[in-house]
Amino acid sequence: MSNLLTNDFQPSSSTAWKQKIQFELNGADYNKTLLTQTNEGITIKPFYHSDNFEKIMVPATKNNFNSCQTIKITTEETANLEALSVIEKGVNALKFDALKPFDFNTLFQNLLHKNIEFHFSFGLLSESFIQELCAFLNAETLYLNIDIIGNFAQTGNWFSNFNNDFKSIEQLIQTNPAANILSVNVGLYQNAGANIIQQVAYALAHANEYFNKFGGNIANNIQFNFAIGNNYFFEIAKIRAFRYLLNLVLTAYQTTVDVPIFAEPSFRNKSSHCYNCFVQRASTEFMSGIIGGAHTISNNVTNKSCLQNLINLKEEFSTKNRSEITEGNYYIESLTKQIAEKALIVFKEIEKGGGFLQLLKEGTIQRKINESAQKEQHQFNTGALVLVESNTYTSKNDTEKLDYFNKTSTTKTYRKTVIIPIKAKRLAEKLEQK
Amino acid sequence: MKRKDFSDLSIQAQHEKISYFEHEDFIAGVPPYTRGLNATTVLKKQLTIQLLVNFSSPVKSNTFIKENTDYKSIILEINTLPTINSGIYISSIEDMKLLLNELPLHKLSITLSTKNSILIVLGLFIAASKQLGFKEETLNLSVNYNYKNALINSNFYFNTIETILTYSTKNLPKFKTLSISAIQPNLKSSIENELAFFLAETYENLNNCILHGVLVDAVASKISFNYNISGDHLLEISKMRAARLLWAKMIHLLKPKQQYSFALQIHSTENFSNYHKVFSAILGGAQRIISNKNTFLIFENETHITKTIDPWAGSTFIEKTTEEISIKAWTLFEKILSKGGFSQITAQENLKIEKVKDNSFQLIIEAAKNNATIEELNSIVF
Repeated sequence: MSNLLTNDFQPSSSTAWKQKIQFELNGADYNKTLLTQTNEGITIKPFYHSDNFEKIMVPATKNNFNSCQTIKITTEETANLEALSVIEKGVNALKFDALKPFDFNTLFQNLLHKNIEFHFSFGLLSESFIQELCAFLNAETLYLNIDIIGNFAQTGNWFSNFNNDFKSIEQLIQTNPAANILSVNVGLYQNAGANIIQQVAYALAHANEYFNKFGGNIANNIQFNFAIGNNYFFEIAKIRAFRYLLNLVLTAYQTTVDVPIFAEPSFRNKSSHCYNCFVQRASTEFMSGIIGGAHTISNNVTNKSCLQNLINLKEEFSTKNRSEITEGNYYIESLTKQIAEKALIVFKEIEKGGGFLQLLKEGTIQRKINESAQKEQHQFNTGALVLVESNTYTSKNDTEKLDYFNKTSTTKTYRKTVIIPIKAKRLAEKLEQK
Repeated sequence: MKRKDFSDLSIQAQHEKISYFEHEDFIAGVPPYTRGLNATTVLKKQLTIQLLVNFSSPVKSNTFIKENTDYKSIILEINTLPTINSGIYISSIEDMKLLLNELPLHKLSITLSTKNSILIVLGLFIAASKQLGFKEETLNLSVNYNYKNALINSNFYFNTIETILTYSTKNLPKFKTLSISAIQPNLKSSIENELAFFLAETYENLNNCILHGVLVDAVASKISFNYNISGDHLLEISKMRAARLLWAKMIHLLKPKQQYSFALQIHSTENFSNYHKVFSAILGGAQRIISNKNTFLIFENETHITKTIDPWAGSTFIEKTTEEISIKAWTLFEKILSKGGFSQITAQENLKIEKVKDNSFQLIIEAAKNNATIEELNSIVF
């Protein structure tokens, strides 16, 4: 039956394709005209063909994913109401951002036993509070997302000190073996301007500090939190490359894991102008997360259009085999392999240098991220990197201002820190202050 | 714990595909164009974004076009019946002249769209532009067509497409495309129905053109597929790939000599306010859609998705779906042919099949110039 489609026409090789392009170029240079160099040191070719097919064996991912809404707890009552409202709309996971301990009974009123996954992020590490929370939610699926190394990188300090922080984690793991206690906050590096290779490599090296301390089996209790940027196919490949590499690293610990990935849109490329642009960017980033194989995709701002798009996407992809979408795709498979190769080299260098914590203390990781961020910022400032309605294509009648962003990076902190903290920074931040 | 040594860790690359489909090795830029009309996305501008104009007042629509000079391609949704409340209401050549007043018609790419008789709308447009001082040979014109445009009082004028193709071949050298939608109310809405009926309808009209002495190469490339896009992103990408493959296969039956006859352009007249459909249109390789500019600009400038051609190629899901859609639609197309073709099938839907007379369209243009009413114009054809 299948030659019904092929009996009238001849197939062509990639060489024939290239020749055709060169003919159409009419003397112009192929490399200069058609190849796109990215900040990752990867070249996007004008076409990909089965002749040059290359892939790595990315582990399959389950078909279903969770749609999640992130909710900041300002008061337990309002957070509870928002949670009830988004569940009504169709999300099946919630992430609560808590800066301080909260009242369980109020926050979780009418939220329990509904097959909702609960994710948290805490601004502090209180072992007793978390023990109580785990006990209270013992019949629910929990992701606590405690990342003491991530907190160290972000704030420059341990919650308490190195030993106490690790001891708290150890205690929590012992008493709550079913809960997902730890996380690796890779999103911090993305939001601070690290490129995709760095993000994948740092995620591995960061995780390996936990493996080194607690053993490889702790991988089953770690969630990986990624921020998704705007380079659509690269972001799909980023998640796939990480899922492959984490299992490669875990071979050293004689274990494997179905890597739970929590993905949310980045803030790095978001602007406070143009509501529709914001929604479009976030929504295509959801899609990268979904196709890349994330377990949970979160709408990390209170924005109804983004939420509706996420819910629509969940419905749209519910009947599809996610692994089948990317499997065999010339472009994504090639990107996945290239990202994995490059990230593995960086990971090995970090390990050779004494590991991620050591390089954080030396300031090397911060310096590397800063180099990448500066390069990207320069591209933005000169217009080589475009954000529509921000640095380019601005319309005069767009006066709407979006208020989704933390103002932390503009306020100066005078706390003494052990290491230089890694700060998230939006590309358009400075431009918008003018 | 002693730190593990990762220095020997290495990546095992593979070069074998798990799934392989025979049509995967067709490339872009040559028939059957499954992977796209152009060999790269970089050398030729891939997608045109159109401005939809549909204020019921011709004067207001005219002002709107003048306010949006950054759009070089516009679509005029025209309504010739006072009872319908959508589209620019045009009751005579005078209304059409108000709509086109002081517009640089020779510089704009204009698409005409209507739910009424397309011959009358096109006739009024040509007559008005002539009276405004534009010669036919300068008009950069496209026309949208669906079955309603050939349907009056339960009579189906089967040769409407042929009439437009024949006229434009002789008189409108810069005529761009007749964009055909084959969605019919009596048909179950499915991808294979949409594609098979599109193929059957265009096949019949092209055959008639050939019978009347027009070369297939003179008309085939003037037809484009006006597609109906659903919310399923990956399915739509597969459908557009299948549509190009099937068109090339259908055209092959008519033995054209020119390669460009095998290339199917894909358009949509839906208003893509949603990012999601624009996304499908770009990755499926469409040529013309209606959208707001920012939506396309973000995709083009921020996401890198236009840096490589047909980026979804090779994907098991996409290739499998492309193949399934193609086989189902082609099988149905052959079934329609075996039952006597498009008009015969349409006749079974309780429609009377009628023919637009040979010189009717010229008569419409002449009558329009003399300020004929819509009713008077109708009586010429029908």
